[in-house]
Amino acid sequence: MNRAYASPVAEPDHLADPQVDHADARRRRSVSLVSLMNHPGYNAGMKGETISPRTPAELNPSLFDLGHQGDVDRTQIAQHLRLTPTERLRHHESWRLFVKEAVRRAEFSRTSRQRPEQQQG
Amino acid sequence: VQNFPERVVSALSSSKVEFIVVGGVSAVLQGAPIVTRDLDLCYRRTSDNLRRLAEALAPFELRLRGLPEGVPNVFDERSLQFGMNFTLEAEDESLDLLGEMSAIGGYEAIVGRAIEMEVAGHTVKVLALPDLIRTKRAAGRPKDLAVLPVLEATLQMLQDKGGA
Repeated sequence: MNRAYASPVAEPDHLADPQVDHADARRRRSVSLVSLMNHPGYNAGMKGETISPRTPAELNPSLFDLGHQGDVDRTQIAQHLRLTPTERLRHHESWRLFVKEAVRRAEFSRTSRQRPEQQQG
Repeated sequence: VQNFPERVVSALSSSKVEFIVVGGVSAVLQGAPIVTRDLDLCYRRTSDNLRRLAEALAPFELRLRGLPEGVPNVFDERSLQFGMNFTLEAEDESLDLLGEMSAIGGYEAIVGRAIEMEVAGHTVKVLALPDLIRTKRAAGRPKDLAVLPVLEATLQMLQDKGGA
């Protein structure tokens, strides 16, 4: 063998091992490559113009859904669906009272600001 | 200690009033993570039911919301007969009694699709989420439209679970 034309990359030792089924290993590798190439998002990095922006909703939700999709937090819904209706109502009640109090305070603050202006007028 | 919605629902159920929990609380009962400030109920407009409704709500001393001080407030069977939708208040709480709702109609029109749920020890009828979505969309107010994505996602997850 002419050493001048030999591959600059040395072959791994295990390729020389007769116990290893290299054909099978190559087959398995090629299957995974084919499945990758068949994936709708695959363009081999060669056709930049074909890349289109994809929103999270278009991607596989099992891989990319972290709970939030737009205005909706699905993890929160899933959490509520695990409760009984009475438990949901009691959980809601604490938030309802919180919102009521927040609105009351905001209203008080607004009228307090208006009062000095009215006195001046 | 029962909260205001539980006490109202218990009082009406004990008096055998025919009503359906509608509005935001119906969404909450079905698992939607939203916050609503008032309790909305759709009631059946038969004379027997109006009498039972007025009697069951009497202990709450309801007043029409926004009624000026000094104006006499009467909330009884007769006033229910002369009106349709009532916005009421009691104990710093809000209660809306609806005879009819946008796009979906009154008690008779929705009771067939209502869902029965156990709330505070009583079996109560709750407006189905598809009906709630329809009426919210028809009402079209910003606060109604804002909760639509959450309601639709909750409905979808319930359907995925086989629960709706």
